[in-house]
Amino acid sequence: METHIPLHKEKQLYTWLGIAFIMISVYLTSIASRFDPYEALAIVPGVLKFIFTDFFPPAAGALPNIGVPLLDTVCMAVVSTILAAAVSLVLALLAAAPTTPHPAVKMLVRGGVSLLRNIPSLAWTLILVPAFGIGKFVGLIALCIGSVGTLTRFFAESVEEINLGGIEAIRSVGGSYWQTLKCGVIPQCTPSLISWTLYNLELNIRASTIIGMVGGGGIGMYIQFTVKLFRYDHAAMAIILVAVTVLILEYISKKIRSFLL
Amino acid sequence: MDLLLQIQNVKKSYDESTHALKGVSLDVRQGEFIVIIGSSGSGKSTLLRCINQLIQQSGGSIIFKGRALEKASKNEIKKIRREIGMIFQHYNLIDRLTVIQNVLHGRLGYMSDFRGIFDLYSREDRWNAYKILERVGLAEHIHKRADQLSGGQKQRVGISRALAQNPSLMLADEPIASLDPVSSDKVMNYLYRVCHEDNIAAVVSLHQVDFALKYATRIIGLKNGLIVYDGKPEDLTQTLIDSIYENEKGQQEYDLHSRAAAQTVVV
Amino acid sequence: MNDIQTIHLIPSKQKAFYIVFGAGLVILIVASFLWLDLKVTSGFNGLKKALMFMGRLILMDFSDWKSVLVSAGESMSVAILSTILSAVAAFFFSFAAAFNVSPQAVSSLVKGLAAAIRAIPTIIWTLIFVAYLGFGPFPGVLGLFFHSFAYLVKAFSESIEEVKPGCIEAMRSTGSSWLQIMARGVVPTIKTSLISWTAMRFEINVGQSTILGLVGAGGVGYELSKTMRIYNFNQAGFVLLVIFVMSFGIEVLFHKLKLTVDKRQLDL
Repeated sequence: METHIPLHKEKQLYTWLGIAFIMISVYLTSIASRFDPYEALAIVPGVLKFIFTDFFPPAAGALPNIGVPLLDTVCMAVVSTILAAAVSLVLALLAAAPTTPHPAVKMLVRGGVSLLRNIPSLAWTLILVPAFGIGKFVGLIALCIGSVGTLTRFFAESVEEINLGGIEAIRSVGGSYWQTLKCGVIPQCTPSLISWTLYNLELNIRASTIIGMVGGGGIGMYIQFTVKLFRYDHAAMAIILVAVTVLILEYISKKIRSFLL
Repeated sequence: MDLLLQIQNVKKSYDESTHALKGVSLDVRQGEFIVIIGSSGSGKSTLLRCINQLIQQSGGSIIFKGRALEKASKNEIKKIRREIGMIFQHYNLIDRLTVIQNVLHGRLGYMSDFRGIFDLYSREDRWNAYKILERVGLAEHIHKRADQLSGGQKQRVGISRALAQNPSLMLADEPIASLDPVSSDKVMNYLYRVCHEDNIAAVVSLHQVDFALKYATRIIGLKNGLIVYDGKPEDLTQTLIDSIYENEKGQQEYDLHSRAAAQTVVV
Repeated sequence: MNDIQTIHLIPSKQKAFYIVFGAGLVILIVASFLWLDLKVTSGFNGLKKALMFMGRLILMDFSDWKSVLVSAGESMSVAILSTILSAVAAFFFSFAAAFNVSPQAVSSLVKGLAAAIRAIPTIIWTLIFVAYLGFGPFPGVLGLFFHSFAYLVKAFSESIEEVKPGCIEAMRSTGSSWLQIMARGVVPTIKTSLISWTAMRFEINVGQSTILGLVGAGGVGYELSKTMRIYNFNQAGFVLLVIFVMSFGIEVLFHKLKLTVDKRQLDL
């Protein structure tokens, strides 16, 4: 007598339910976002033609105009990341369970940075531009605010991941709070802190292109400007240089990370 | 012999239903090498951590060199802690720092915050730390990172860190539980020798009865938070050992360990 | 005590490296700062204005709530749709990109292409599509799709590459075909990490979808730029609240579901 042995009957049901749920989501969201799959396929040749005729070849003549804003963007990302990392380290020690002076402080800091983190840097730029005027200063501050939100969270998580035994040992020799921080906590999480800082630097390079578009200075402003003037070949050159910068940075941080481990 | 430490009816409960220590009394004199045996969860770790106040007891009194710890201020506790060295099962070294840096952490209790934060150890401290590492046979490894050492070497660094404190009492919480038999013997040997040579009293918790019999001048049997044996190693019979390790509540052990760890915070 | 010798804490070679590295870093930061040549002409006045604006943001004007919520739904739709589409597309391409199940040449090609797409920020992809298609959420979906696709190809293919060779070898020894090995051996192994990565990307996409409106791709970002352009801070405050609730809600939800991964491994 042969019997059919189901491998996982209930699981199969869940899989089908999941697929149905996804299909319905696709259908509903397509309507809401006025997305038409046929149109999406139909425009492929058009988009390709648009990119390859209007954007290519990138204008070499744009290079002299790109250098300064690109360097601005990189410098804004570097400075904002470092400033934010310094502030975040302090906030993270207040927000991490093993080092916080009081649980209430921890909750307060966590709540505060989640507000900074979940309002995009771009929105901060929009608020700051009318106050300080268009320019790099606003971009820098906006990047700092967003970065403090991101880094404090991840720094605090890094501090919470450390081996508490090391802290116990420093306390057992009669070490004070500050000595425990410096000799027990910081050495254990340094690689993680550096790694998150590099991650944030990469984020900031990308974010600063967006911020530039609403008045935060740098390469984003240049791209927005050229696109508005339909000088797509100039924009293409800038976009390619942004991409190259991002790739170089990615490569460098990969190297530093593997060196740290 | 001088009385160094008095533990009087010390109790510790983590919550209403779990009592790690149910009233332990014990005197420690200079020159003693006391080994506490007992199964996991018997309260060994908790007792040791109460002695240097990494965990505060819920009741009873601990008197170190005439000072009652439960009445001491935070600052006084720090001063008392630096006179009590501690060695841990998992070594508790700071992995990314060098061996010499880890040993010098033993000096932190004697230094100002400022000097501690900027690694401003004096020339003498550094030299003494080097000499200690020479004693435990690690002189050529002083600049190695702690995580590059073997388990036995790490525990010798742990001993050196405690020695750097110039302690008059040494606590060791299962110092060889994570080591293979050969390194275990070596580490116990070093521990016994330095304590003997420097006239440091030691309270060591151990899992292995054979090691306890080999080194102890006095053995304490701890079971479910109570002392069930206190006497010379010679008098410890097999029946007594069996009753110490007979465990009705084996499930509790993990729970207590995690509670002890959860209490570890900087402040 | 003449026999005391100086003992260094760390090897002198390492110390020299730290000093050089540290000095390099300081120079980099100072140079960057000087290059930016920040002129804060409106310094104190600006600060006063900024605080005033923020005060007005807090006094929210809910009157336009209907269109703001509709736009928020539009943003959410853009995020959901682009995540699903890109996850499905990336799923298929990731097998071509994983070096342990794909020929070397194909793997390098797909990975290189994904890296190139990823290096261009989402907002620029969207800008390109807006330039071609005009305003609306449709170019937003496409812009988000491209970047998510490349991102997930990288994440998925790395998950595939983590599958132990023994697992694949064992199936090969039973005479299974490539497709069978993938479907019965590789996919079940990596399923959880695929879901985690998709969830993680969805979190990013929600955040991104709220700002795409700034370059004309509709959604709640458009409401934000509209209200900001006419300095209607009270209305903008409400839009910001909606944006915050959206991304914070997703963050909390996914954290509760433990759908989180180490973000450092990949970039946005």
